Amino acid sequence: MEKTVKISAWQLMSLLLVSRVAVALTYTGGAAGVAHGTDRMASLLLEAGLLLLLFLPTLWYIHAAKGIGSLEYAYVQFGRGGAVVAVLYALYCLYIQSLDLIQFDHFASTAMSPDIPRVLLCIALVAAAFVAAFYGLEAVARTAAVIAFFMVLAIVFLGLSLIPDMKALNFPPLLYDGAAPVVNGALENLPRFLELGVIALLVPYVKGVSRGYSFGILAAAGLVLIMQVTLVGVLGDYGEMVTYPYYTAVTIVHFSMLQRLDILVAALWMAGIFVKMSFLAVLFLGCLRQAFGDKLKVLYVAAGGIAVLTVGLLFGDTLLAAEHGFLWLASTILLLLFAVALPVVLLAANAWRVKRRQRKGESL
Amino acid sequence: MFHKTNFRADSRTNQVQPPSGPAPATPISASLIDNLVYLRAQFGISSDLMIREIHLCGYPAAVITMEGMVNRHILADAILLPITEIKAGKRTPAELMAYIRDDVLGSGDMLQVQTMEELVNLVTSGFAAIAIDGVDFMILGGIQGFAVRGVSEPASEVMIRGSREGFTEVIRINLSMLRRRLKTPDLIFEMMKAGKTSNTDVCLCYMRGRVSEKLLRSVRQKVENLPLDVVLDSGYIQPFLENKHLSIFTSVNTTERPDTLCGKICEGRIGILVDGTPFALIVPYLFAENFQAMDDYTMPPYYASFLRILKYIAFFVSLLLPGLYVAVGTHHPEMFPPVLLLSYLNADHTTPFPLTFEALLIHFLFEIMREAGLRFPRAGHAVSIVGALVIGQAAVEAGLVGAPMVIILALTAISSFILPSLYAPIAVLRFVFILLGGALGLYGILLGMTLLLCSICAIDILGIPYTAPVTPLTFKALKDVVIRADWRQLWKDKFRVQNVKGSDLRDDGKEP
Repeated sequence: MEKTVKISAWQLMSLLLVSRVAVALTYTGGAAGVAHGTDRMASLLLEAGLLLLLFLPTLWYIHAAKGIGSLEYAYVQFGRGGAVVAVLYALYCLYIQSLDLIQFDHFASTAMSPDIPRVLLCIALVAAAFVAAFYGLEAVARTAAVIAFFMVLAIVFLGLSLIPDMKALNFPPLLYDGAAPVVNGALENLPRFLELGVIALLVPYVKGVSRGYSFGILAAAGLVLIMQVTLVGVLGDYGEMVTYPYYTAVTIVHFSMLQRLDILVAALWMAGIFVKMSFLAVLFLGCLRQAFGDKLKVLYVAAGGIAVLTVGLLFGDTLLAAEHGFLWLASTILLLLFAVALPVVLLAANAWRVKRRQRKGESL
Repeated sequence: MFHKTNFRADSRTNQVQPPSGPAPATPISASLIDNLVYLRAQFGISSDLMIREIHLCGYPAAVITMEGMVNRHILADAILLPITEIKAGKRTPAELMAYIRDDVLGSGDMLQVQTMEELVNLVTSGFAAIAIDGVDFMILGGIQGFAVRGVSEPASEVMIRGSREGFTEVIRINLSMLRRRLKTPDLIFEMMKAGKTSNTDVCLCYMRGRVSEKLLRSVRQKVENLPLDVVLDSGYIQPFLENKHLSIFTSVNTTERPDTLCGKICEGRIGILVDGTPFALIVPYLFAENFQAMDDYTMPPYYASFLRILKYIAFFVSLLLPGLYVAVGTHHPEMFPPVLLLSYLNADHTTPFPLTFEALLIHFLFEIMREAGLRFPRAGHAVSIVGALVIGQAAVEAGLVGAPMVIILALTAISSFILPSLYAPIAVLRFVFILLGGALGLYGILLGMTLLLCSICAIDILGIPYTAPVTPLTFKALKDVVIRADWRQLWKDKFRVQNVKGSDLRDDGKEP
């Protein structure tokens, strides 16, 4: 009995929540440096609003395509040319994974135990994520649901543990430097949510894509807001000077049942990164299967894993050191291409095709 | 497109193949001599085929049995004596056979067969066949009398309260134990044969109206199309019921307890009894059920819930404790509280091996001793003494392993015995986590745990997710997962396994 692949809106929400929180846990305050303290919280809310706005083209596509995924839709529109879209999606997934690995590598080499070989850790992470690709979307979504539950519990617990260390003085007045930092902060964070670009792919596999996405954005914003309140309350302006402010904040906790809350953060972060990377690995594998068939699936996965490792380990430091703005720009362009341009192009191609048929029909 | 990948290329195991069709049947001949020649040819020089040739009312006849399979007293009193006392009359052989069948024999288990294959099958199952020359069928009476082990308490599922009965090797006795507990016509026993050579009796037990029709069809097809030649145990069938997927956990489990099987059947599951084994298979079996026991339902809810939580903790302790100890000791010793750190350092300095190797060694030795004690029970005491002295004392005194490691081993071992159904995966995964902890510290363990969680989430059994009702979440069903709610609440839910969220077999009208 072949089981149909279907995940619920809650599971999609969990996937997005876990992915977003995993990124937020290693939010590099110093590198961003555009919105401070309370402004940063406002920028988080604005970011959520922008992400919901950016979802509109996908939403339009979902209603117009009537349950067909963007990849299948591309095949309908362009015939074999749909394979190009599949490969583009696959490369997009690899790009996001490479960014995650770069961040992972950086965090592992600066914040975690120095005697653990970080290359080995990166290889283990990528291998695990790509092995999980074989388990399928349902398995990853179910895993995400479990991890999301523990993530919410842990962040609330961390917040409560850090309350005694929080100081009201650390919260500067909102919009103290005007609205620009809030807007810049939101824009700076926007391409940290690149998963928006693959939502159109998931249409036939999720019961309630729009609901799942919207709740995912709002839940993630809420949770990241709790983290941000904690971070700002504990560290204040000092948070802008450290590489990983949230991680630093939890290491100085004085009141907790657990002695080492940083391990809890590292645990959440690893689980989150794993879920995010395996989710993208599933999509990567699915796209290549659609484009080139099922026979070489092991090869696709191996090639994908090696590509991510190569970019992450060999060019990671260069990319991070080169220019923060470069990665931001590249990510923003890609996000707009996949979240806005692609659904619009697909729908436009369909409209053109329908018109052409109608014209042909009229002439006949 | 984004579905799970099946690793096993061998499709024989799971794909339902079209039945190859039964071999052509050999009809029973009207000639008694032909029939007996056929039987002797089939059994060759086998000494247990018993053919008692007699004359009934002047016609040549025979009583065919297998030695050891029938009760000799019943054979004499219920078959031989009545038929030899039939007074001669003007009856044709067919009329004589009908008279024997309808008026003479007192066996409640009476059958009439037309083919030699059916005859062989039933005779080898403990039936006595009566053949009369000139009749092209035979009648058989069930007079099974082979030695059987009595009903006893199951060794692997001991309960404090509740029944002490366990299944035996004889399928009919096992069926009677189920029927005694569920006296309803909705309890169906569907008998079939498995194994082309062994012709083993296999029985699907389910509750009509509660079981999913799709699930039943699927299980039936899988059992009917078993490619096996011989089925000697339920374990032979088990892999063919599972979905194609590389996983260390099984979604088909076993029980020795009739009350447990009855409980599962009432929840819409299918029990599979196999003749010759006291272990019944349960399909589908969810991960959360590994933490449930029949005792939970006889104890007060608060205590049953406490035991459940204890089992979950024991699961994590038995799986992760050695790995965590190795990870912390090797890579994050600063995580030890100061006093514990001192004893750890003390032990570390007196032992020659790295912590990872030490952990692997001692757990490996433990598994050897456990297996030795299990396979050679008479030497169990000796093994225990050797284990206690060699591992517990001498190894520490000789400085081969540290004392904390022995404590870790003891805690791990005791915890793993709490969950017998998960012992095998835990024992293997423990070594994996020791290696991960040694190589990558806590991060390796976290990564391993997440991948393990993902692999468990990937299992589904005939359309039902193995991790249900936790993920996908079915709120109502959680009353019997981490906690065990009061019976006054449990009975209201009318839990059916096919109706958990994410199931493809839902018959409650809701979407999967």
